[in-house]
Amino acid sequence: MSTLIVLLAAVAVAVIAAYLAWLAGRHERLAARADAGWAALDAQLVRRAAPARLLAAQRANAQVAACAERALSAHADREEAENALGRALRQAGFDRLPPDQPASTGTLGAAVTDLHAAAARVRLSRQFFNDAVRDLRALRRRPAARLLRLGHGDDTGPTRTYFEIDDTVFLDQPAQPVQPEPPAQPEQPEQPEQPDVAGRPDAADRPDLARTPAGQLDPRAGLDPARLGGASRAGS
Amino acid sequence: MRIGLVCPYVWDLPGGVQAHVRDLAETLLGLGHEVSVLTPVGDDAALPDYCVDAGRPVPVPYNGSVARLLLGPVSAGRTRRWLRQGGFDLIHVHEPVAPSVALLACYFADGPVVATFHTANPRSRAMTTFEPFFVPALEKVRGRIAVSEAARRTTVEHLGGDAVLIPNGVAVARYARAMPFPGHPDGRTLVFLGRADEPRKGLAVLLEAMSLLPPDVRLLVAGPGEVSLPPSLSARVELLGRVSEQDKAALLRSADIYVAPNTGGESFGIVLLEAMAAGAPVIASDLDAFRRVLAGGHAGVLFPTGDAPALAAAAAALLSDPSRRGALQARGRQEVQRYDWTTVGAAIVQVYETVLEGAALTAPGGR
Repeated sequence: MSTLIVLLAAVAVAVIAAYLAWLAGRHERLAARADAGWAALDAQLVRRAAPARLLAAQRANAQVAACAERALSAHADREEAENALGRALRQAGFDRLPPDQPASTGTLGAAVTDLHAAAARVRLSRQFFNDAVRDLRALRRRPAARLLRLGHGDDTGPTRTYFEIDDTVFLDQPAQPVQPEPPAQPEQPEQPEQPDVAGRPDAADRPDLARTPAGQLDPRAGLDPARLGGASRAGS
Repeated sequence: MRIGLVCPYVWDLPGGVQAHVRDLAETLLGLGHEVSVLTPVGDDAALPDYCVDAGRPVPVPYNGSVARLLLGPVSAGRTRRWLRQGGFDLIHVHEPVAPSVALLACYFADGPVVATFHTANPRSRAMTTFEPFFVPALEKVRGRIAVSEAARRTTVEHLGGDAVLIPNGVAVARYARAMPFPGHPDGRTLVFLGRADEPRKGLAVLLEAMSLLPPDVRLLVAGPGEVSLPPSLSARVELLGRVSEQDKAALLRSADIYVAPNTGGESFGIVLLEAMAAGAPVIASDLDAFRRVLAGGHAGVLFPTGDAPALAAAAAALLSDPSRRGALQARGRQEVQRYDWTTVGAAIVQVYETVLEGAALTAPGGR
């Protein structure tokens, strides 16, 4: 009888231990995913600020230059610094500059192209990172995870907290404006459907593709009536 | 890069997910990447070089329709071997919320995983039951893609957390260049594509509408499944059964109107885009997904879902108005460009690159 009890207890302990080990493994994997997500997001944010600084220098825009500098060096107030940079870029009208304009200097057009590409990737990596943080936090909330003190003392810091910025700058503009826009209006009135600060795409009539980087993803860019001629049919 | 794609459904059966995986694989190969596809295979297995057989699937009723799924020791072994031998930089699984080889691949994957969600599934008992099994596996997914707003909503509801919206792709040129059947379009031919015996595809609605249309209007039905026609329609409705990809493109090119009478369960409506790429004017039920693809009704005609008389009226009006059909064709061709695989493939590669960059930066010795 007592052997049976000991046996059962041993089995129970083994099962619980296996479960906890499995949970700890999951936790480790999720933490690694959050770290990787942050590394990608950090890289994309730098890739956005660097061409912004270049462009600001060329166009002698002190405000954008200061914001870009701050974003590149910020550690504590990263969200605020990135938001300020986005706001400055918008106010300077840099998001309405045509990318790769042949008449201007090559670097200027290239910087605009880089900004569009980086903006799309900032959005992607920010979403992937926030998803990773969400999954990590969900696991840590479980009673067994608390019992194991998983992630104890590891709840703060940039790689463990959601990163919320307005990442819509450049993405709410077509990547290749048809004609040059007038310079620097502070705000554009004709944007009633601009996504909110959380940056959720309003996909109803503007799938994300329309807002991804210059040229390569502009949905209408490839529209060539001659190529489509083969599809036209007589008699209908 | 080396990419491992996982398709959960039988490769040689027609289906939106299979077509997506095939076109994605070919797009990636065209871009110079190395691709291997792990997929269950049915009977007549003429597999392309890049496919690896994961085993024979079993039909399982799941989430309101019959899915042919695959789980078991044999496919688990094959999945592990495929992952081990593939040496992939990245695994891209499709529809991992169904119990399938895609979920197995998530379980066994070591490296970065990207997942695409295709279906709009309202939160159901079946899915809630499986949740404890798929949540740990899905935690490995570093980048989620949804092909439609409805599919995105599903991931938010089931998994918490968002997904990037990248629409389904269409190989526009393949459809635009297909040769129509001789003598078509003839001004009186409707076309339906889809499983005839799947109620949500809505063939019953279309057959009812056919009985209200003039007797010279014909209907071509392509897709697997048995259906019994009322005697009054047997002369006007032709059941073609399952058709090949080439025949499907030819069929759409031959249509005067493509009809999508689905009553639900569609999250995207890829076949509408294929019809538009082939230059067929579209009449579709007023589902969210279809309304979106048809630009709110500007690129096609919408009718109230399940309303056969309304469908008949819309079809009759469109058949007697060639200039309206021409306008819809032109608008359709314009709309479909943004779904061309070159566009969609580039967006997916961008997701891969974002995920891989993070993995590379945090890899031991990576920085």
